[in-house]
Amino acid sequence: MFIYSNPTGDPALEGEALESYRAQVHQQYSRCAAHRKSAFTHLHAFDGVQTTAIDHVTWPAFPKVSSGIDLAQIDQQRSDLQDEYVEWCADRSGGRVSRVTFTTEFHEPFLILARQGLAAAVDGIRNLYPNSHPTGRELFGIDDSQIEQLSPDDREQTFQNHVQRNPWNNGEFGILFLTHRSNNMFALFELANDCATPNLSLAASDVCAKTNCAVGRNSDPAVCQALQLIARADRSLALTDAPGVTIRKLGGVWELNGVQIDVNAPAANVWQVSRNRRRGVLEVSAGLTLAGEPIRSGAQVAKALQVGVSVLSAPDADLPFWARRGNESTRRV
Amino acid sequence: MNAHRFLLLILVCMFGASAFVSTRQEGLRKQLRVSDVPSVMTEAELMELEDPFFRLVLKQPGQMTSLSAIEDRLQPNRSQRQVFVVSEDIARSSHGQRRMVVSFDGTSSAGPLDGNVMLSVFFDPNGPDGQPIEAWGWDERRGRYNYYKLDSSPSQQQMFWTFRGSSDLADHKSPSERQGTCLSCHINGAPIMKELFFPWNNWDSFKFRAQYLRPSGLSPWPIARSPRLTQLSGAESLEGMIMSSLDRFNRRRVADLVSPTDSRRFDARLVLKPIFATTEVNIVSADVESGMHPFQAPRTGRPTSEVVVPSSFFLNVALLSTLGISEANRFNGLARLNPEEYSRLISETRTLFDDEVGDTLFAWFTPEPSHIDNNYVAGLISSGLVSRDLIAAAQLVDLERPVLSADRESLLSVIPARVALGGDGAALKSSVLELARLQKPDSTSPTAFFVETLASGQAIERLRLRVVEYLDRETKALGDPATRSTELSRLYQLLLRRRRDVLRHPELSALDETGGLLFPLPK
Repeated sequence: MFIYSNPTGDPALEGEALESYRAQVHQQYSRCAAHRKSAFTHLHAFDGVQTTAIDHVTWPAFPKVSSGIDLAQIDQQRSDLQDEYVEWCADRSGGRVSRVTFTTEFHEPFLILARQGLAAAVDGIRNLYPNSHPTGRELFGIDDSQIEQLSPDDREQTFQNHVQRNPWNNGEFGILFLTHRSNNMFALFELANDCATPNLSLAASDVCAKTNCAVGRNSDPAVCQALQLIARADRSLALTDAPGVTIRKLGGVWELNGVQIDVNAPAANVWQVSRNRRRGVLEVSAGLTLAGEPIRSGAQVAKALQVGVSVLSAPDADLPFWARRGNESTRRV
Repeated sequence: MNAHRFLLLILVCMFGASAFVSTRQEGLRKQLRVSDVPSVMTEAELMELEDPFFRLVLKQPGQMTSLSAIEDRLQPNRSQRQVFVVSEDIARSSHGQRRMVVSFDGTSSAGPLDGNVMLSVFFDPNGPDGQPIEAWGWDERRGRYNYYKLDSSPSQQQMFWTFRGSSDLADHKSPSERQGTCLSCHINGAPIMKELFFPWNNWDSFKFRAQYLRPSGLSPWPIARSPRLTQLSGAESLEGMIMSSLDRFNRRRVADLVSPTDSRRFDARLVLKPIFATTEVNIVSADVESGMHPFQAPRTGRPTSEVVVPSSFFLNVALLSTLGISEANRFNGLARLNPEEYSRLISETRTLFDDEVGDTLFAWFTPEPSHIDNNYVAGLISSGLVSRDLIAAAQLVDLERPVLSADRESLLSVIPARVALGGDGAALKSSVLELARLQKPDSTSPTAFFVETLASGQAIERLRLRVVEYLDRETKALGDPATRSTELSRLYQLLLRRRRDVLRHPELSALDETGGLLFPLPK
């Protein structure tokens, strides 16, 4: 089995928890690799292959489905409207936006920590919010003592059921991971599953509409088209490790008190990307503008943000026999 | 100082001066018009150039003619460059030429690079080597763009850089003054991205991937494996950068009106022209592929899903939204053609693309009001230079023709050349009404209608009612099976007419760089 990376480098995800995460990820790869006639294969099939290429598929963070909706409303209705595999929360202070935090992290690592117990879950949150003191009631919706009495499965379920009311994730204190029903690892792999099988009767860009791919998003059609094109080139492919969506670029012309700044420069102390590019924090001081406009919402910033996935591929013929298209039964490893 | 030292000093100065002159002669010449003979720029002229491209590349001694060297000089960190590709041939994987636009992030010794310098160069499957390079740089202090080109002249085989002009007073130039200059395309002097908005027809983007530009493509071009294209980025990234650049440019234009530093700018008919005339267009389309593009494979002969006509085809939605007329947004999704209806329009009119019945990559490719115009007008309003009423009164004239309306442009006849702007447009309104009183326009003319609306003080409300009436009429015409087909044909003929209007326009026709691949039209 491929040794999948800790997606964010969070030290709380270690030992048994990391192994549990790896098993879940491997399950997703295996599911896709077993799909008949699919170009999707396992990551370790590419070991030692010299002809690999990486395609970066990017799209705007601003949700296409929310075009025309008031930007403040998009900020408030995160779980309904932010569906491009990236979500954000905008902190306010003194009536203005003071910080915008973006995340592309899947919920799986946090659920795994929740399975282990309150202490592990708190550790995970403290790695994002040092000096914080999350309580059992905040994270699970029940008292600390009740949490330890639950089985791991029940702890995970309880944590998951409480996600929308968890103040460390719902924007009240912060944001941890993706919560929109379409922003999860399963959905991303399902997309790969659907779109990595060549369908030559359609233009590559039309395949999305004929699968479970969500045509109304920016993300799904972009990923689907890319996978189709790679598959049609007789290449086998896999989502790169660690699978998921990462923050690629914050663009636009930014000014601070009327003077243009390089918002991506660490020295500017304005935009910081961390956790293997799965978290981005914009510190909004008074006088910060984007395209001449003060920052009034996270959605405004999302318009300038690009996120994406990366796809590893190589000519099918260059892969080991067991990993090639048509050998889906031997891809079950 | 003794005589020998004095003589030495003079010799050093002379040598130094001639070295300076020869460096400058090597470095940069001026050629504002293609037909001009390039001439050495004077030191005073060179002192006027302060954009990052000049400071980082051209101010340095010697000629820099290699694209790679120029990129390295601007931003040595390759990961902080972005490459965008555009072509009317973008869907054709067979060999040809494409245009590459290179942008830069990060900070240089000349300041931030984002939105401040860009290169453009044509390339073939093997790359851009030896091709002319176009560049622009933004001079923050002067609030203007400077344009440069690396090219050779008929008499000189070697390539050399020339300064091709700036955006200064670009909007004041006549069509004949623009000919042969960068301003023939850069009409307002700012960067242009014709297909500025989703789905960016003709651009590589997340909506359309030109896979031959990627190593994982079926038959990748040799350049696909070059380090340069590891930075291939989609048009969706460029859109934001260009819009930021245009918005900044417009803020400076408007600021110059609030606190004018140059009296030449004060011809109101020129500075207010975007309210009444289309100075530039963007081109937008439906977000579905037509299935009838000759360069696309496979061709299905029709779109695979319904074609939603962009709302900006019907009216200037963006400007009306600025005026607070949210009813304009109800044109979003108003006209939806099923694949059969759309393909029938193409085939029945025998619309041609590259000499065969067909369409652009994305369906319903239509000129629309430009972002630079709309953003500028919005700036005039928010700065209190003109009133919403005046804009609304202008929009009421020929509302259903959002671009290239001769009737709306004729309203400039009642805009005085010299008028005080500001005060929310009170003085301008008075001057317009006074000028109209003197001119006595025909009572049935667009000008008379405009003046009466302006005088009423009810332009916004009248416009709102007019938009609603228009919406209701279109909804009925498209919703009634008895009239739908006729209405779709009428709308499609309007689309064809707008494409022709652009191609026949004395300034906008320069947008067609392909000699026929920009707009599908019947023969």
